[in-house]
Amino acid sequence: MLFNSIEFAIFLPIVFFLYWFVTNKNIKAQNSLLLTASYVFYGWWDWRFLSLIVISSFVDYFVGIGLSKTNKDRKRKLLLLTSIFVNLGFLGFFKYFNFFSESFAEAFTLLGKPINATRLNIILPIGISFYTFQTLSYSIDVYKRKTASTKDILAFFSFVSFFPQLVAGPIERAKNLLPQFYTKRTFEYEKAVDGMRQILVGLFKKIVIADNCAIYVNDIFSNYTDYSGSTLLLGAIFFSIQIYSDFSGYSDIAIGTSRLFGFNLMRNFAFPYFSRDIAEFWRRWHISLSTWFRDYVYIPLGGSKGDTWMKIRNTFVIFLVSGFWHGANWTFVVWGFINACYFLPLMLLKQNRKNTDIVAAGKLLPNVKELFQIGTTYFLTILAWIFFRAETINQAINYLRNVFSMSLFSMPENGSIKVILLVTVFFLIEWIQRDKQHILQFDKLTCPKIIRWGIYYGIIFLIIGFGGNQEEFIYFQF
Amino acid sequence: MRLFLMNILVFISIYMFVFVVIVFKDITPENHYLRAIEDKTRLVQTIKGQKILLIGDSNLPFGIDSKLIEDSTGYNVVNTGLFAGMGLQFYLNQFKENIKANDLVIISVGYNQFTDRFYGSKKLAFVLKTYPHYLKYISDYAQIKNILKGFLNIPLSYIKKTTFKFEPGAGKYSSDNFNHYGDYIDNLSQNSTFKGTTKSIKLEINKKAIPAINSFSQYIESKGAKCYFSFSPLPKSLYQINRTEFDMYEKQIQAQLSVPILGELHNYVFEDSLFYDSKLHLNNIGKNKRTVIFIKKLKEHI
Repeated sequence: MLFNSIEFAIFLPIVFFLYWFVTNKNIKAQNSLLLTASYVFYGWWDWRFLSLIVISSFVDYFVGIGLSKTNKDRKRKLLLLTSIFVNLGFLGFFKYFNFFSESFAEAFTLLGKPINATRLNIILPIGISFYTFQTLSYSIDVYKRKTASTKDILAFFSFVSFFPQLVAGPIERAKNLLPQFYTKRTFEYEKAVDGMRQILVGLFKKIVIADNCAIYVNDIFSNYTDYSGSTLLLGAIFFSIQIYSDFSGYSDIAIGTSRLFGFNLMRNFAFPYFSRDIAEFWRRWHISLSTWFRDYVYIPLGGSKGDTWMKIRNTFVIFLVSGFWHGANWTFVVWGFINACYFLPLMLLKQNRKNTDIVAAGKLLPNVKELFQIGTTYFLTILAWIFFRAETINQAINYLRNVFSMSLFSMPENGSIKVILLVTVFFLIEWIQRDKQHILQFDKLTCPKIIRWGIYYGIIFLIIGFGGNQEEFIYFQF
Repeated sequence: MRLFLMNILVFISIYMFVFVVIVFKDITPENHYLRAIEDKTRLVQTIKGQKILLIGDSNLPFGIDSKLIEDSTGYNVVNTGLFAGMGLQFYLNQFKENIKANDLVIISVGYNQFTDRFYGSKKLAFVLKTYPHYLKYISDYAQIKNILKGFLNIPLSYIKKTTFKFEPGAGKYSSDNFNHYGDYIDNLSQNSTFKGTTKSIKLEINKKAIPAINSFSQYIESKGAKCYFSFSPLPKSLYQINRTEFDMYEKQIQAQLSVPILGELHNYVFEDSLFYDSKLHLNNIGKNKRTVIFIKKLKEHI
């Protein structure tokens, strides 16, 4: 079920009503409802893949119980390996089997021994990269004794499949989300209202901004050989906006929906395009994944401790793995590699934690230096996004080559003033609200109800009237 | 909770009130293009004798000379084609009850009726708003979704004055311009605006489209009628740039469609200069050429 669908518009009020009016007396009943709702939500796409979630949940639940019952290192390691094997096994098979098979065949062909790749007709289960990482983090945390294991199977299954964040995150940690399933949730007016606002922001980002950009992005990237450098640059800019609005929009809806049910999810995006360097960008972009890799890959590898070579190795490992997580294509690996190259100088010069505050905090406009830093960082991310969006590395290279041609200085042939205007207004509002959690977070005292409601109606009007056509969220494919 | 629900209720009520007032304010022009649906329905219901019923999207009124078919075959001809946004599913539902023994039904639709337009578009809402009795031809959940989306879009389209505009005709079409067969008879040659297209397209066939035609054919054959399929015209520029896609599309149709196909796709590929204002609409010269080929292929079967 898609957040931006009529089905979800019917599903959500029904679950909300049952949750607060029928099952509100009993936490187990509420969890049962959430679990059922989550399975319905997921099964709406393809019920067959529910079995993967159920198996993954069972394995990690029993691994957690097993870890809590033994202190023997060997046994604990074996249990952890079971969880890793099952979760990454699913992920590897469904997401990467064909990629590895083809890559091996290509490698052998290059070595002069051509072999045929075995290709299986595998459907990628939606959200598999997200929920496997979530359950995996539980087992790792229990293994490291950072989180206590749970015996409450209902709470655990609900935690793994919690529908607002099941298919595209934020990837939650057991430490944050699981305890919320043990405690009684009470309805909080302010929290629910803010949740509704955040849902509205998410829908606006997805339907108005991302889907409109998608129209031009799809056309420009499909026909990139026909367009001028300036149009291709515009296409890349539109894609950077599309992927941000699409994905952060999903996160906003997920967080907002969770708040309606009394849950708090972690923040996933913090206005990343106002970052002054790449390190800051990665602290603000897909925060739940970046911190996952930091905690479960980067730090165990030694992090930024150790000698220079170790730092370089760890940086490349985390970015390449992160790229590969996004999809079974070398383009994602190259995207990760480029970001590692951007990040490395900052880390080696110990400049990677220079910008941890909000840019131009308390000021209306940034100064020239900040503006330059933001512009440079944004430009670098755009160049990397071209690899992310392209279907092959060759296509990305040719696209870039065509961008940096003489036609870069001509007027773009494609694009829409309407979309450019919408995007500009959207980023201006983002700039003004950059110290908030989302752009519709209001101070009630300074913003009276009539204005707030006017804004909500205005946004609904834009969603209905100016929405693009694409329906799926980009991150579903990951 | 009470305050929250009250606020939601008031918010939605205000919205719905404004919405309903706007939506049901009928500002459809008397000669609006879509009003021809009534004329065409009447034509199908009242025509006597054996008939050829052409079912499809706007490629038919803008691409078939029905008189030529009538003269060549001796059958009465009704061109029911109107608008892609209504969707093939709608058309199949709309006319199947009016088909009688010995009728020939020819389905001809643009490639997008097999892909994203099988269930129509938001424009279905405009038809149902003006003529609610067509609701009985809505049989699928995907159509209902399109209608709901369309209704939500109505207020904005009033403001943008695009209520009944037709892409790509920019609102110049009129229901007055259909002849008694159902062909569109405006001066299609002098006002040609089609410039060709170099856009790449992806043709992913909706898995319900071909079975829907097969089951429609089975139904009308049980009534003693016969069903055929014909490809819609295609501009050469579009065909050439998407050759692989169109080849796959044609192969899939040939393999899965159980009704006889009148010719092959390439028979209906025409020079860009023969098109009127879109990739599916021919001008008068193109219309004539297409009809001649169409008749030739039809005669191979009847």
